[in-house]
Parts: sequence; C-alpha cells; structure tokens
Amino acid sequence: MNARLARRLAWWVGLVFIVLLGYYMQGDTPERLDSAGGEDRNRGAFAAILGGIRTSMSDMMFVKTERYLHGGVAYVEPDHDDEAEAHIEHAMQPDSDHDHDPHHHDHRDIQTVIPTAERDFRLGLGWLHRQVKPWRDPLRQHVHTDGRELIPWFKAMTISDPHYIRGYMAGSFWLQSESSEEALAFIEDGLVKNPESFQLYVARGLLRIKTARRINEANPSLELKELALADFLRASELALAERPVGLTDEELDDDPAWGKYKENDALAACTMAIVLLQELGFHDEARDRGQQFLRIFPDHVPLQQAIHRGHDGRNSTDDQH
Amino acid sequence: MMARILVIMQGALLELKRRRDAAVVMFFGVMILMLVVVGRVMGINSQTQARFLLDLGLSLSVILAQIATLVVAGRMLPDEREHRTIYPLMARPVSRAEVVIGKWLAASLAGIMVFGVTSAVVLMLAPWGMIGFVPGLMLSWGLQLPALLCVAALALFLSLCLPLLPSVLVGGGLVFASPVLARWSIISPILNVLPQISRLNGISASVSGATISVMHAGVSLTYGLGWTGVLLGLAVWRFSRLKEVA
Repeated sequence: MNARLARRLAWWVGLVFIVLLGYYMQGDTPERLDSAGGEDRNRGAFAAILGGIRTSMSDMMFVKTERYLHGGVAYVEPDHDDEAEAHIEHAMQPDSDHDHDPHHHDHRDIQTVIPTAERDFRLGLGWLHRQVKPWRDPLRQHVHTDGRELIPWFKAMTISDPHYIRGYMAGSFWLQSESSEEALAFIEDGLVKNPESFQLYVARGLLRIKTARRINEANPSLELKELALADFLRASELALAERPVGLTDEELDDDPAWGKYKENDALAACTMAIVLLQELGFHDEARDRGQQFLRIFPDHVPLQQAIHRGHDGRNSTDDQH
Repeated sequence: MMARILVIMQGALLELKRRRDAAVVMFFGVMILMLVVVGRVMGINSQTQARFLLDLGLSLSVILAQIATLVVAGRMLPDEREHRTIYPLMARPVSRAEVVIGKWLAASLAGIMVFGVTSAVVLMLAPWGMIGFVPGLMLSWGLQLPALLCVAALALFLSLCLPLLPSVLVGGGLVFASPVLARWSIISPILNVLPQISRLNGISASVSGATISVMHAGVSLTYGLGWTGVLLGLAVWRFSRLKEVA
C-alpha cells in the first residue's frame, strides 16, 4: 500500500468516525442529559424570550377572536373560557338538551373596555371614542357572531404556541359544530404536544359524550362512554396532581399557575368521572372516588349532587331487588 | 513550519486590526456589557432571574464570537484573492497548507478573544451570590474553544467553495439554524453528516441545571476537533486546487 493510498484511507476512516460520532451525539446533546431535558431547554434564555413571543402572539390572536365573537366590541372579561365553561357545566347535566347554545350565559358583570358615559371621565372624548370604535352598552344583550369562522385562528395560535391549551379547547369547541372527527383530531394533536394537560382530557371526554348522545340520544354508545370515562379519570388524576394544596378558594383563583378556569375544569373532570362511573355501573368505584373528590372539593354542589344521585339510584335499585 | 504558520497568523491578525471588524465587534461587546450592567442595576430578585441573566449574557457572547469568527474567516482568503495580495505571499517559500492553517489560526484566535473578553465581563458581573454553584458551566464554557476552531475551519472551507455572501449564509445556517432544522425528520439525516456546532453549546443547559459529564465533554471535544480537522483538510485540499495558487 503506498503512502498516498494510506493517507486517503485514513482520511475516509476519520470522516466516517466523525459522522458516526455525530449520530451518537444526536441523543446526547446537553439538553437531553437528564430527565428534565426538555424543561431545561425551554428554560434557556433565548428559548424563554422566543417562547414569550410565541405565547404573546397566541394571546393576541385569542384577543382578536374574542373581539370578533362580540362583533368587534372589546369586553374587559374574556369569554372564550366562559363559553367553554358554560359548555362544560351544560354537559355535566345528564338530562339537559346538549344542542342548546351554550353562549347565552350571564354577562351582567362584564364591562366594556371603552367605559359607558356614566363611568367615563373623558366626557366628549369618551363620546367620540364610543362613536368611532365598535361599542355596545354592556347592559344590553351581547351580540355573538359565528365562531366557526375563527377556526383557522385557533389553529394558527396552536401552531404559534403548541402549549396554548386555551386555543385547543376553544378551537375544538367551535370545530365540533362542523365535524366531531375534526374536533377530536384537533384535541388529540394538542394531547400529543401536551400529554399532561388535564384540560384537554376534559375537552376530549366532553366531546365523546356529546358525540355519543348525538349518534343515539336515547341509548348513547357504551364504547364512547367508556372512552370518555377513561378521559375524565385521567383528567381528574392529572388535575389533582397539579392542583396546589393548602390554598383557599380565593388564593386558588388568583394563583397564576392554576386560576379559576383550571379549578372549574378540575371540578368538571371529577364530577363527570363520578356521573359516568355511576352510569356504567361502577358504583363502588364511584363511591370511593366520590369520597376522595369530596375531601378536595367539599363545597362543590354539582359534585355532591352527582354522588347523592348515585347513592339514591343504587338504593332504589337495591329496594326493587 | 510552525514559525511560518505563526508569521502568516500574525500577518492576518494585523490585517484584522487595520479593518473595522474589531470596532463592530467591540460595539456589540459593549452592548452585552450594558445589558448585564442594566440587569444588575435594575435589580435581580431571584435565582431564576440571576441565572437568566447569566444564560443570556453567555449565550450572546457565544453568538457574537461565532459570528465574528464566521465573518473574519469567511473574508480572509476571498479578500486576499480579490485584492491579489495572496500572490506575494504565495511567492514566498510557504506551502498551501501553511497559508490555510495560518489564516485559520488567526480567525480562531480572533473569535476566542471575542468570546474570552465578553464572557469574562459577563462572568465577572454575574450575581454569583444568587446563582450559586453551576456544576457544568466550566466544561460548557471550555467547549466553546473547539467550537470556535470548528467555525473558523468551516467558514474558511466554505469561502473557498462559494462566493462570500452565500458562504457566510450557509456557514451561519449550519452554525445557528441546525438545532431548529434538525427537528424536521427530512433534514435531520442530512444534518447528521454535516458539522453541527450547536452540539458543543451546552451553556443554556448547564446554567439551567442540567448535568454535563466529563464523558459528554470528551465526546463533544472529539467531535469538535474531529470536524475541525476534516474541514481544515478540505480547505487545504480546495486551496491547493485553486487556479491562481496552483
């Protein structure tokens, strides 16, 4: 072997070695060195700055959809979550009419961003502001436009920030009026990117219940109910693991990492889990879990009602036997 | 041979001093310094904020040093060829490899100086009382040395294959955009056969608390130096085949 050939061979061996080393390092980057690797990467300074921009973009899009839903009128209290909230509370009533529009909820406490003449110290300037901007007296019934036109915005906000749970929830809510399959796919996309988000499990469970009842109102699909139950049970487990302990209701509402929307979703998950456990005949598990949930949410009336309904139903069945 | 390489390196560094590159780098260096000073003056209330400031400062130092190395190394030989100052150099008893290695050393040294000065300022002004001990920081800081050597070799090789702007863009893409591009499954296999300098940057991870083992540092060092050797070899090979110097 002459020297030239040996040099070339060494050259190629070195190149192959370095490429193979690159493949080896693929799974050994500093960000992946420990189990909290993803979190560490997201805590990096640039990741934090860019992540903040992404979230801000999603927030801005969400505010835009909010304005659009109210005919351009800016209200102080955002309502997408209220709508989802109304939807959840509505779905929690087993005997309720699920085609009822969940948006006609109480807006009495909600104020407009541009204040009314009585509350506006700017006098003439305030009058001008109300004339040139979309404005409506907050005491009058809100105008709601069709949210289905906003579906691409919800998709855009989840592309901008894949961890924007509100986008998935509100988007799937509007999407289900077009196609349950599409709505389910949207939530499942969110679950792939946020496997620990209990709110998405709640949304999927509610969607499954609604789909089951739409297919056959009198006799909803057992399989879909079981899948929904699995979602609510998983959601309740995740919610109770995430929920801060030792805080009062007010402190929980004000907690930036939790807040009233998460609290309500956690309650919905627990209540729906109990309702479905009873409907599917798992009375013992319903009783055990009900006691567990009541220790955490002792004052939640719908949860108490669901548990008592189960007791009453079981007692009456026993009496008949 | 070493003496000749050092003379070429000194000549290249003198040329850098004459150009305005140093002033531009100094401007951005002062910006980083101001950022850290403003951060300190405004007040840091928690360890998270303190670590964020340290991470941001060091990451900016890395970026500034890598950009400086890319631009300096990428401009060295094309400028010499354009101004025809390469001919007097080639007329002297120096080999093609010595010219390339001398230029590479000068560009690397410039980048290392930028990183050394800016990161030293950040490290000196960082609120260490709040940050506490960061175990992997010295290792990840030290890994910037092979990273900058590799960036210089990459830019030098690309400058011999492409016009100035595309070479800087391709080099910049490989240095800065590879972590983002690697997330796409179609591009990822291609990137694996190319040098990914971002793999040597563990500063954010270590400041955030990730552990960086000596084993990992050793593998990274081998990767960085290996690619530096490969790219430098390719640059020498490419330079030897240029018509005006062949």
